[in-house]
Amino acid sequence: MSPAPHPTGMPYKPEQTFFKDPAIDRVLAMVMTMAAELHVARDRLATLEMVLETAGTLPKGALDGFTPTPEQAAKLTAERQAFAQHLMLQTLGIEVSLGAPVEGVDKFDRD
Amino acid sequence: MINDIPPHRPFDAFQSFVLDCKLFWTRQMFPEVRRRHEARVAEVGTRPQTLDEVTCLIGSDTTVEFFGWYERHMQRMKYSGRHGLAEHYAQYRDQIRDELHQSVPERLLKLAPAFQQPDYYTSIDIHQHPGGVWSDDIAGYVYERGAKSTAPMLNKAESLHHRLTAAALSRLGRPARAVVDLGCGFGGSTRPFYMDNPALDVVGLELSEPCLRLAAHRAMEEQATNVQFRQADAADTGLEAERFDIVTSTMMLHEMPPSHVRQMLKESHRLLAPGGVSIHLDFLVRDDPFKAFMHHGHSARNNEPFMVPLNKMDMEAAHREAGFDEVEILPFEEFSGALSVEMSAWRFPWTLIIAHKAA
Repeated sequence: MSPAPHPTGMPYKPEQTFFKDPAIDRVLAMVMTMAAELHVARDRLATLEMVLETAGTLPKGALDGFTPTPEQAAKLTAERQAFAQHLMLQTLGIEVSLGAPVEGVDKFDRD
Repeated sequence: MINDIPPHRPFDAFQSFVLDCKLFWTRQMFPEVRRRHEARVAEVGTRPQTLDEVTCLIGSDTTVEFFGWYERHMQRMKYSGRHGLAEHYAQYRDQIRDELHQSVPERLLKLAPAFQQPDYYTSIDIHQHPGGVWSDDIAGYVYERGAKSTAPMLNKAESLHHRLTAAALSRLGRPARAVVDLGCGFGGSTRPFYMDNPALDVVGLELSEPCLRLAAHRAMEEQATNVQFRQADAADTGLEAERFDIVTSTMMLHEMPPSHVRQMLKESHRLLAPGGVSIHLDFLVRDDPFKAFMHHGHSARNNEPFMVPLNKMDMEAAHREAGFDEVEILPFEEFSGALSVEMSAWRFPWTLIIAHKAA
């Protein structure tokens, strides 16, 4: 989403950069946004637990002491493994949809 | 309404996280940058004498790059984005505007409907505040919220504004009758003058209407009767000559181009009664290339580009040109211990610039 037009109508300029490779500036901005949002989510989860404990809906220590049933454990394990796979796959630097051939597309030119 | 906007847990959590990161930057990252600078000095065997030499020495250091990035982007995150101050308070725009547009006694607020903002002021969003502190009805309110975490080391209970007020009154050397606070923003720097000195005639002068409306609103909440907030340029105030014993400003000079600072000093001299005192609290670095490297970098990173030309100005000459005789430039202790050699955290180079009008 682009920022709202400036009240003077003046155009926005490229953001300042600090690293030798400006890609690091952008990636770090994404990392910090994710970190802040992760904190917001963690804060919300902790708050939710407190609210539920106060209301008596969630016995104290029930989450930390939770032992899943085999079916529940299988579901949690599958979700964790899928998340790990999705995260680690990015480190390989391999495309996940087929792009143009490295040698170019001349071979498809039949004329 | 403006005092009871409901808490919003995700916003508060986000802002608290950003502030924690800023505190890390202030207390741990800055000392590490300084340590790396000193290590490089020891390595090359020569201490840099200029800002350019400091830049050559550590400008491409990875920790310095991170330091700059965090200064820039913690401020961006504070103001912009879905949990940023500007966007969060925008959802309460109607209520905030309605409350701030309620009529206040004329003795508290005098706006200038045809007032034209100077282009240097509207062309840059200072502090990375989207739209600046002037264009939005809630800009003053957002600025007031943002200022609470600008310098996290400050002691809010014993504010720098109280310290400046005490210095100004003491420097005058006689009982003060009238004070004008130039570039008063939302009135934080004006408040100790009018609240703690009910016999004083106080004027707060400011460009931004949203800031002035908030300043007047706060004064109304305090039932103040000895202050008026007026919309005018500090370089051309429209106030009567020789009315004031003290002309002061806090963090205003560095938001102006040098020509405007010089004109403001001339106007200050005109406003002062004989024997009156001109006292400005701002940022100057004169004898430390490392601190200048930090300060000039901050100027760019916080969208306050006039910090650099201000730092290069000959303040003594500018005051003499305006009619003042002697000028004192003194370090300012914004909180107890700020000037101690033990103080290792980042801080602004707070400086008092004091001059008297001949009696």
